[in-house]
Amino acid sequence: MSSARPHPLAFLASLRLTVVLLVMSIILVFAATLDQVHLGVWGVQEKYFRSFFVFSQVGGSGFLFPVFPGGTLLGGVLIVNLVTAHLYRFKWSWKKSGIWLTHIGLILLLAGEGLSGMLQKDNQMRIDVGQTRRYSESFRETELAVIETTHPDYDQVVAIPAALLTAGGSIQHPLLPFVVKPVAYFANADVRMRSQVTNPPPSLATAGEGVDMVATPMAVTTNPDETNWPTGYVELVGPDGSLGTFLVSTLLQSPAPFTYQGRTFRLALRAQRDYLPFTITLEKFTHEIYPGTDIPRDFASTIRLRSDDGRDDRQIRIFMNNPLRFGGRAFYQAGYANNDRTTVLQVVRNPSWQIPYVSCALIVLGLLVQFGLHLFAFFRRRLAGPSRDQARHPAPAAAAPELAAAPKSP
Amino acid sequence: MLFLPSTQRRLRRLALAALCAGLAACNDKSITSYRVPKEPDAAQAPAPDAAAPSGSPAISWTAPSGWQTQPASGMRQGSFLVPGAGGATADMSVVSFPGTGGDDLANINRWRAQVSLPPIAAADLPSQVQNLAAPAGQFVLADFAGTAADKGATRLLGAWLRQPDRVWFFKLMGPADLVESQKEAFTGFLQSVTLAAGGAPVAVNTNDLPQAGPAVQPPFAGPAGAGMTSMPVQAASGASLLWQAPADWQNQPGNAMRKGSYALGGGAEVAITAFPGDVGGVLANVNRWRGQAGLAPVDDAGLAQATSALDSNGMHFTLVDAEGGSNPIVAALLPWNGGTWFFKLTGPVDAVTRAKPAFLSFLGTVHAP
Repeated sequence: MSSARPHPLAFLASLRLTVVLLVMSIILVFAATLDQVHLGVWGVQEKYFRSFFVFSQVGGSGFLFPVFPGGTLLGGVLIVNLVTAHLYRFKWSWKKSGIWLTHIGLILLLAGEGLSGMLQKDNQMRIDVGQTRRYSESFRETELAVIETTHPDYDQVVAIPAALLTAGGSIQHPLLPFVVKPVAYFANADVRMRSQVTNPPPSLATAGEGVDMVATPMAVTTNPDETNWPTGYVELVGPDGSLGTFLVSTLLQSPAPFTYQGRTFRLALRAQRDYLPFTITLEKFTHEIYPGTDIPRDFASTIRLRSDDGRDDRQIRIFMNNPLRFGGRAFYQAGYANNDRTTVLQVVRNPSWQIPYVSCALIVLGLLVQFGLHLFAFFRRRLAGPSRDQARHPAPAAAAPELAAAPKSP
Repeated sequence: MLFLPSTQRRLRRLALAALCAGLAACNDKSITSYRVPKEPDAAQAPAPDAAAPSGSPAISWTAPSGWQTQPASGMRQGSFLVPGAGGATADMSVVSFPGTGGDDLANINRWRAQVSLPPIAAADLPSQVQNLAAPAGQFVLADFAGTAADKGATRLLGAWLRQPDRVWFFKLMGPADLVESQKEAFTGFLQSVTLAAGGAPVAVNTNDLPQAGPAVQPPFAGPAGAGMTSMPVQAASGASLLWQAPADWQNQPGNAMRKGSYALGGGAEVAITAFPGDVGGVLANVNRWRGQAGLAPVDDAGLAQATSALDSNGMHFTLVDAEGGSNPIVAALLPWNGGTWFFKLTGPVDAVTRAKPAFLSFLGTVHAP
């Protein structure tokens, strides 16, 4: 019985694997939901769903071990399982075209989520009434902006992601006359004036206002009501030697400019910015609540959008579930603050945002086709005459003698 | 044969697409560079009383008489020494934090700890704060009397004001009786606070912006056309200087950062710009211009030779004559109203030499509104 040995790909195409993967997905969602208390929504997504493995310390060893497959791995294997099953097991026929369409829709849905995880960027825009903004800011990512303010008409910005500050090594850029050397980086820190701290430790900063300040590293918070204040020290080194070590922090709102080789610079650690080729002005914000409660009934931003190319200059109303889609981004009404004088828009940039819609359309079409084919076949049998039904489901002679006596169809 | 050749090709394409997507996702860890317009908030409203450092969000206020302005630094956008009887002093600070600045309870308990008071629970919060409606917005006020280490009876008057992307904290802290006497001055100070409203759209050289189309410049705010010899030019909205341009200077369309721009013939040009704060100081700007002109930088000792003073209409210009180099520049720097105004004449050597007398006369027409 050599033919009984299964094909190597039979395992990948098996329904058993599908069931195991779905069960593991359920366990993953359950564990992630419990852990959300400790990590917050974003942390859980990164640890459990947008990773190949869930890492955890085992037995207090201090080392991280992969303890469970992550969402990316499970979703990836599920796609492979579905595709392989189609290629290996399902045979193409018009009668099964609906099933094929439905499954292609499912595969596309899974792939779309994978692409969203890789490509989607979530930012926010906080705009006061009357204010004009042309950039959105990341919720989580931080950048060190080296801003050259020499030119009277514009600022030249070199933006270094904070991840590079933690990676070590010097950072060079053709537009900078110096090298940026990260000295220390804290994802969260408390920064105080030196005079306000008892027995302050010596400062790493040797230049700028950071000399008079103390940065104390703090535990990273995942509480959505609290804020992390990334802080660090960077040394700038030019051809003639060090320009000094500077304290940079998202807490420092007015970093003093410094001059080097006749050019003026500022160092700012800030939320990562995404500059837009258009501006948004908040003209009006309305916030309605259900009478007698604080429950929001409707909140809406009336904005004016002006594109730099002059093609768009229009008024738009953004309200709940009615985002503005423009310039490859979607602007959702996410919140409000400051006694209703400020709107908070969530800015989502996701090149693959249309995939779920296409997937759902394919699934619906597939189901319609599949059920339609069955319905069509049913009606065809009915129209062909009762004898065919009878041939398949012969009626008891005693119950329907007239049918039993009917002539056979050709 | 499990896979048909065409299926294999499709799978390869799929893998290639996935790889491209993966690589695209890795791009957010790379360094980017771009040009942006000067921050409109920082550029439009220099603080008249206590200028915020360059690049900070614009805020202004009127300090009560007797309060001594201290240099703002670091997180402090404003700092005052409030003197009292017998040499006692209280400290007034204005601090700005980005984001939400923590919740109200955390802020209150932080202040209470500074005057040795125990923390309160969230339920007690409403009884500990008051609201103050002011032109700048709704302030939340707190008033705590306690003790501070080595300082005895201490009182803390605190307030915060939430803005779209930051929170402003105002704190007066010092001996109890002195702070009590300054309570009215403190609320008066809060009433005087004004925050710069968001500005008009800013012209950008969008060729330097990521994913940008061609640039569009807003029309120049002042009257257009040449020959406006007797018409003062209002260069931009808000507080601005006025001047009279010579008849043969042609008004050029400016951009949001330029307060005025003129073509003088022969390729010479006059540009007028203004920025909050001291923009790095006189020496840095002089050396910047000297660098643009192709001259060697000067040090503090050489600054006197490189510059001259020009007083006119109560204005005190620092004149920089950088004509010796390949790109001559005659420029003037004018500290005014908490900001710095720059008047710059540039162009070919002979055109600048010809235009210089008219430029100096033009500086004599600059006056406050």
